[in-house]
Amino acid sequence: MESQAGRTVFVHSTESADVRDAVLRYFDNKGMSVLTVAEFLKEQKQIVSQLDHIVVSASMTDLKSVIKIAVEHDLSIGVLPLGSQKQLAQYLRLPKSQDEQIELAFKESGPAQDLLLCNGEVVFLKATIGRLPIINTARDVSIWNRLQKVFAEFRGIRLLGFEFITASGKKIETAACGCAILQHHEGALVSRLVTNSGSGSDGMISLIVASPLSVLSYLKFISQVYKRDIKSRSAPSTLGYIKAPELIINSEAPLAVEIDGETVSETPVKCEVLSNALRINKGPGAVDTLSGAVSTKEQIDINNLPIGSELAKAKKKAIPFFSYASEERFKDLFIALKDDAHLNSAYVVLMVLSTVLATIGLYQNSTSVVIGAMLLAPLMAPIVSIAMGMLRRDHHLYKRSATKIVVGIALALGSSVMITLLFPHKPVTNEMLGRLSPSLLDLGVAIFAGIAGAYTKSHKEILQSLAGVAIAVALVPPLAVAGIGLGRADPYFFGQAFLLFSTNLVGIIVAAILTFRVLGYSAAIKGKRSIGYVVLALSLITIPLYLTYNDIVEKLQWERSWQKERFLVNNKYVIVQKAEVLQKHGRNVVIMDILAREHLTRTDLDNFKQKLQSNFSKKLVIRANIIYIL
Amino acid sequence: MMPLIIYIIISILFFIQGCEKSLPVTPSTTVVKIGFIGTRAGLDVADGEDTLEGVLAAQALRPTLPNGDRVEVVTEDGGDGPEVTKAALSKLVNEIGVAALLVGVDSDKLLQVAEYAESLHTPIIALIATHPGVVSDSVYISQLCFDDATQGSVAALFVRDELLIKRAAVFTTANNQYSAYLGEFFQKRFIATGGELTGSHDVADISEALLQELQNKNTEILYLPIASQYLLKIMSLLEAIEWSPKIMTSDGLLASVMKKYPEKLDYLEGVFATELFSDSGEFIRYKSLGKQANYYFGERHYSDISTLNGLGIEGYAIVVNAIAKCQPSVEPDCVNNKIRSTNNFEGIMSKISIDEQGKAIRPVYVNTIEDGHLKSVVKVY
Repeated sequence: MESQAGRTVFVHSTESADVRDAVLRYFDNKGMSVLTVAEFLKEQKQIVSQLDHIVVSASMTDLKSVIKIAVEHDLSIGVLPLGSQKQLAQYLRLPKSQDEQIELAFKESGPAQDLLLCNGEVVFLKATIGRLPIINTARDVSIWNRLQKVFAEFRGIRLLGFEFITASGKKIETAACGCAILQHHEGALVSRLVTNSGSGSDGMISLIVASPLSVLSYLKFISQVYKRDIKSRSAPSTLGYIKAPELIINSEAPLAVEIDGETVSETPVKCEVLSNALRINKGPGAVDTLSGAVSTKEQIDINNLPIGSELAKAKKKAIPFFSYASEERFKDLFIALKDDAHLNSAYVVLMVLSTVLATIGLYQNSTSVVIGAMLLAPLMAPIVSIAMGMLRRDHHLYKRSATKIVVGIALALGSSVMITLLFPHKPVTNEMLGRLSPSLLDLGVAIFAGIAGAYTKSHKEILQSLAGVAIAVALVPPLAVAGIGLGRADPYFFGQAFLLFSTNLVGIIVAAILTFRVLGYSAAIKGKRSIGYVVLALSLITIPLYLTYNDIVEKLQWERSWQKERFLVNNKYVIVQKAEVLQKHGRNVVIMDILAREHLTRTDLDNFKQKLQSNFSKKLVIRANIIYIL
Repeated sequence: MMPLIIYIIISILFFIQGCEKSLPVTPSTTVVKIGFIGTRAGLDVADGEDTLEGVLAAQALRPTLPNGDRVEVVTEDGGDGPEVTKAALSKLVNEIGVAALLVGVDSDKLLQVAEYAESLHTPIIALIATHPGVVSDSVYISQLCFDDATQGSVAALFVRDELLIKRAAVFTTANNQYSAYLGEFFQKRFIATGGELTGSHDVADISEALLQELQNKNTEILYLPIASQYLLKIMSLLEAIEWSPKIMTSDGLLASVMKKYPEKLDYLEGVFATELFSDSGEFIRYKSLGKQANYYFGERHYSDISTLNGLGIEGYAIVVNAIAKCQPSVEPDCVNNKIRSTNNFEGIMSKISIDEQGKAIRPVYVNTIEDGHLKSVVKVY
């Protein structure tokens, strides 16, 4: 150890009794000058001339009082943190073991470093003004309390007018939700925002200004901070960065200035650096123990901050949750959507062709032909357009898209009715039957297809994925089945298939509206009335879908149970080998193969049916194929 | 517009959820007593203790009738002989005035006192007795288990049609009516469906030589409706002669061996049995009553419901259901009629009906032991 107890005093507060005992133990209670903070402050004038080094263990306020005296009399400082001062320990890179901390604190060779003062107050870690949710939220509380604080900080968050004046006299007027001042770049989450090289002895102050476009973009940026995913070339899009030896900060209204977690002043605030004024012991790896050239030039990076004409607009209202995208910025998308809403001959031809193809494929029971028809179908485009029209209350876009959809539906129904009437045989295939039981699962498919459709539409580079969306949601085949139902004059057939189509239509519209909103294509949901009707339609559709979903679950459970369920009818053992429940004319028809060794009479079969029926909530019609075991 | 939409959505949610929540029952001061008789000592102690445990669990879960009347379970030891059982029956009916009786004694014991029980004109649910004779000439006794005719048929037909086995031998305990009846019914159904019987013996005669003889006759399966100690004896003899035919046994036997001789579980690997319940595997789910009871047992006993516990729970629930339908009266004939018209009552794992003759109609499970665990093979309705 270079020097320990010679011209050194150990100053402690009442909270650091444990640390004091550890220090006394370390030095075997010998030759150690120990004072409380109050005693030290009282007797400082008499004793400072006899000192070279002060070791302090005290609250942040007391620590700063002692530091001021040390700086005034050019004394070096060692710090022994309290248990709660984890950030301070991290900032000074102190070792974890208390004995090693004591050894380091009592060394007299602390390197000189700058001292940051804001309105005359010492800033150790950071000073903050305004709101910086999460970054500046207290960490010494429970997660639940922290979440509550974060929500409170976000509630009503808005950009305020700020003015920053650097040492060279450069004046910057902007709007921000808050800013952070720091001199060293370690020890706090906020330090991760600074990607420029820095030093504790470069005579410079760093100022970080947060001016997010939306709460979402702020959260995205925070996640980058946590992941340390900030590109070194430039500050994140929500931030501005100023580095100068002196800064004056003004705000449009007085704001509290919080220094190292305590509110000690308010704006306007003047921050300055006392160059190499503080000699403090730090552990290995601390900023100013690292070598390397650092810039001492003023640095101003405010490209992402609102200035000039944008300033007045930015200060007007609260920060929205979603980013707002201007029409200019997404001009291409709007042009594409307006084109999609335009009814033209190509649409008519494709709609008729795809429906004819789908209808034939359905009669053929050919999955591949039906998929081909899905790919040809042009219905997805006006549905996505109508979603945007509703979101932005663009009556023109909305009306044109609606007209196009209605014409498409009419064409599809008409085409499939015609084919059905022309077909001499009208078989009911599995491809058709598969579209007669829409359920909540179909609504789920429609919603995710709507999200995918809107997302794909807004990203030119992935437009080819729209084909996959079209296959997933399949708009034309249900319409074709509905048309077949009309052609067969079967209201059940028509109703169920049209319910499936309506599910897809409404699900896609609702999901696309929300997706466009999240992607920032509208500052707010403007067409509330029309969207209200769509949501109402969705709610009403949910009822039959829910009921059908229950039926499907019951049916699947029932069909699966055959693997292990048997029947003893009049002392005859019956094994159900294979069974399928189908909907026919509104009835549940069970088609099954049953195995039996003994001859089954009509009484046996009635008994068997009774037992089957007791396990199924709906009335069953049974068609059984009996296979005898020989 | 938005409040209207929210209102509609909430209405829909209410519609979907339904309004099944019942109003809380206001307790009354009236007490309805149900009697329980079980063997509380001797070899069959588990029959009485475990079924009573189930009855008391069900009472804890449903302590009152829907009208608020409190249900009290009064227990009496059925003893080892018919006289003790008769005395217990008499005390519960004549002195205590129970509205119905739950009887946790086996077929043999119940058959011995059936005539006397009948004379008491009080509805009785036989919790574990499976012999058809228990209800054949009775007006007041009903069974909760499927009867041995059903069980024997399922065993024979499962062997024939699922395992596709042609040759079987049967061992029974000749002086036990339950065992003898099951063995006889199995043989009858097995032969009727084209099966070949290679031997039918009293388990008291079991020997290596006898088993060797059956092996020489190409016997593929042994049907063993016998007590657990005999089953283990046969298994050890089979091991000695290095013969491993398939084994089929009757209700409660697997559970009994698992409980009494857990160290011998290896012997039971691959053994089939007809059972009242099964594991809670993929296709069998506990019904509402079963879920509550299973939770109750898990909380208090750190165990699942055993077969005997399950029968106690179901018996209590059926009796309480029948009494509730007769309220405010607890007139015996009414309760008895309601018991005998139980239709699709949600039991622990399946629906239970009791017909006018007092016979229970419920599924038979065929279980096996696989990797030391009870596993369901089929459920026969």
